[in-house]
Amino acid sequence: MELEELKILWKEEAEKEVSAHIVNVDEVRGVITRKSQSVIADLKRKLKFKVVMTGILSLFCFVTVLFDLTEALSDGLMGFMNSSQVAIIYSILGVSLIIISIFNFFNHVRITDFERSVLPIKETIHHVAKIIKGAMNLGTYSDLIVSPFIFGFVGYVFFFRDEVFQFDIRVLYVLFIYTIGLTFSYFSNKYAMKKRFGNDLDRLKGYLKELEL
Amino acid sequence: MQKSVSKQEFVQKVTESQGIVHKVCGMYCDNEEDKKDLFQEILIQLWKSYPSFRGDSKFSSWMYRISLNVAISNLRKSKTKKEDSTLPETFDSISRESDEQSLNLEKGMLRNAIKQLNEIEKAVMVLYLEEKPNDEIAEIIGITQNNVRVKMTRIRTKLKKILNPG
Repeated sequence: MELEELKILWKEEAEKEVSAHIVNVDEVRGVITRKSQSVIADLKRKLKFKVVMTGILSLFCFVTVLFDLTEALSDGLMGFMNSSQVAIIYSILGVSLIIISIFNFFNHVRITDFERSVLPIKETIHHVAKIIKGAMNLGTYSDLIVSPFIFGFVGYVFFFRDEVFQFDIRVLYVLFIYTIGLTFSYFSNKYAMKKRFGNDLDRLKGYLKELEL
Repeated sequence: MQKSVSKQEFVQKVTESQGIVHKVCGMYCDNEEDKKDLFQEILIQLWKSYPSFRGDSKFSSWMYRISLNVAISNLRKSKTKKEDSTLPETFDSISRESDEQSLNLEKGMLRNAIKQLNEIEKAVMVLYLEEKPNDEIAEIIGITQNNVRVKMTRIRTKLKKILNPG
């Protein structure tokens, strides 16, 4: 069979394919109001959620520090920290969360712009791969700000539970625990991101390679 | 008001040209469920991108570009695409009917040929089978016309091997 014959055969088959699935105006109208199930749309929804959540949490941190509510929080920590230590920690957390929120917001804007654009296939694949790579990096690194901090805090509570903070060997222990937390978070996040997006990214890279040939 | 007018206009246009979407779905999907999902995704993406359609290109080219973009790179959540797993169902069911009529050989060959092409080759092939000129194929895919010719030669060789084994 030659390509020209294939073309004729395709026409017949395509006509059958179309007539078997034809939809009316109302069905089209219904479909376009549904929620997209694509990876990109899902990413966008998650980013939106993260922007809102990190925004609210950072606001809570700043309100706590600005309105001097740290006394009550330090009481809740049963003497592990005094109110100025709580204020420092909440300030660091607030700034970290607002940075994460801003990053997520710009990523969200970038994806929205991309969704509205109509690019050639090669460029689209390149953009989707970039978005996925960005999501993997964001997923890996944004959590590195908070998780090791929690490890460090646990270390601090453990080593300084009965005493006032001072620079001695225990600071090194806390830093060591922080480093372990950082390393563990980095590799576990990287593994989780690779598991979630790795195959998709490899597939897209394969398509780009195919288009280069 | 303007949005509802443009929505109405969009729905009308897409309903009239829905054949393009069905053909792409038929080319890329293995079964009816996947076909339905892809059809839905393409329509959602067409609607999202509609404000960017300024009429610089033909509406059909614009539809092909988005439909193929969604089929190739808009990966689906929680479902891994089973490449080259089962055969497209419509072609399969058509083939089953043809089996009864003992006319399935050529259709079976078409099915088999489509199945063995990769996602990029499928895009080039669907545009070629729809008799799009080389410059339009190049524009939709985003490669040079020379690259389109090279791809077509490769696809032709591949298909010859599939269609004329031995």
